[in-house]
Amino acid sequence: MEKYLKISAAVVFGLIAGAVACTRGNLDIAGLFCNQSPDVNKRFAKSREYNETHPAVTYSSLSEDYRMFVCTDIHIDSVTTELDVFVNAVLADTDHCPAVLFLGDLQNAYGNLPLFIKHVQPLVDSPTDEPMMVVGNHDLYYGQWSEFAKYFGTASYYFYVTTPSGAKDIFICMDSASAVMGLAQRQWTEKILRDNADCRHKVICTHTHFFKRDGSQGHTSNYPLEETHALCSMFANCGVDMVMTGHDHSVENTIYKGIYFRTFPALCHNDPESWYSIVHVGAEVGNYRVEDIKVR
Amino acid sequence: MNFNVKIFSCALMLALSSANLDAAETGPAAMQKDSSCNAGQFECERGDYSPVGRSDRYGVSLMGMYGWNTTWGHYGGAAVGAHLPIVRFFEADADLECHSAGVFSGGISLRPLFPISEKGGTVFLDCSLFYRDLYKYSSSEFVTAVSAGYRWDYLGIQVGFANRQLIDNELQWNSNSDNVTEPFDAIYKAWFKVRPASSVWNLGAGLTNFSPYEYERMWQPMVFIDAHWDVADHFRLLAEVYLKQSGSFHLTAGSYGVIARLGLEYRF
Repeated sequence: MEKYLKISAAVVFGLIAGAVACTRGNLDIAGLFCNQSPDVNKRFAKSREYNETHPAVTYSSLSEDYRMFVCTDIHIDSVTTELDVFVNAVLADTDHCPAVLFLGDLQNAYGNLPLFIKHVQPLVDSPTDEPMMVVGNHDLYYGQWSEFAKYFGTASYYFYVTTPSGAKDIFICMDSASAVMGLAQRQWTEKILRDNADCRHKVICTHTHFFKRDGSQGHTSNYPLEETHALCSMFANCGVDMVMTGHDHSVENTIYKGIYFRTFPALCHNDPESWYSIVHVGAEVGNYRVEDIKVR
Repeated sequence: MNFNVKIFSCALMLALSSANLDAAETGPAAMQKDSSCNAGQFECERGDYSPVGRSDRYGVSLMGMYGWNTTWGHYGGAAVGAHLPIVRFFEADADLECHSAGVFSGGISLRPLFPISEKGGTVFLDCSLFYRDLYKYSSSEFVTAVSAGYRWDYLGIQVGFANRQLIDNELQWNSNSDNVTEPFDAIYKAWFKVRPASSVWNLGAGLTNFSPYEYERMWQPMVFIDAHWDVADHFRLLAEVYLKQSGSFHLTAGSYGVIARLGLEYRF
């Protein structure tokens, strides 16, 4: 018995030592046991505080259907080649929705958010583009939530896209970076969906994917099953017709409870391939077509 | 579903084959007195092995449960279970639970046993079917799991895989929607006990991603503590607590929930 206790203590010590040794590397090993950023409820409170002085934006589309640029899991550390290709593609395209979605994991390791922002700045400066950021788990490593909040202000917000006929689509960006949404954020989302029940399309944009239908990436985790069921049910009851996610670095298309769950491929330089996507939002409810563009 | 049925059928055949090894023995395993066991007014019995702390005696249990998590808040319910050591090399468990978060779950496990030696522990195969109806969400889950393990007086380990279906209870025949199959998920359990399995009372702890009442995905580990106390010859007090974290493999771990169960088992 004593031998086994010693072995257990050695394993725990080794894990802690590994966490310390991996400080500021790509993986925040301490996060296996304890998130170094605030929990989702505290992050949501901060986002709500920012939203009070920054109301939802409405973008106007020139047609009933429109295109939207989406990328995810950029994982910027030192190489920005793929991000630059994406930004240039958006700037060169003259007919797309101004909202450009980044579905989380903007950076790797520690201290790379300023580099990411520097290479996204052309979109910020462009009068016809507005980058919309979703927070990912990598963006919380080493307590970097404060950096994300400093640059972007909020991780839980929504915006509208209106069409010439007066139809309105709502896109709600949710913070799932720690694999739970939290009660307050879920209630906030449900209220927004019910208050906007007349919207044509209701889209949820978040980082963590919902299902694990294949062995892609192996270790990418998602929500506890209770949370998965609760969210899917709430989205279905409130008329959500698409959920955009990242995190898994692998495309997955699932239609469950009448909702199109789409996991987008990664733009990450360190992956064997890098992709971004163009979502064609159609005029009818549930009408989406996704075009994946290979960068490398 | 056909794949799941095939897997379970193969496992069932294997289980029945191992049961036939000792078909002459139709009752519970023969009790042997352990002269080193000091249990006071009633006798200990050898071979008190089971991943969930149950014994070589038939038993039915009733437990109250309390849970809290960030999705459901506080909730409570009850669980009933049966343990059937049908023959010496085969045992079965059945469990049902219902709680106020709008969930009922039920599962059966068939477990052929392969003792290594008198003191060498037991290798076992575990074939389980599990169903959980989250009627509040009009959703349910169906899980088939096969695993193998080794259990000894103080330690045990169990690893295997599970196939899960997430079912939309309101799915219509003409819908373009579908149920979700998660074809491969790992299940694992590792535990230790502070006393030999034949003790009147025992305390243990471990790490797992499944229990008789839920089968989580492989990156949702739960730490558990369990205990039993034989308060009388036929009555065993059972207690267990499960602590679940979320986001561990996101490397943004936070507390998610806790489940506690306390109850009594009547042992025949």
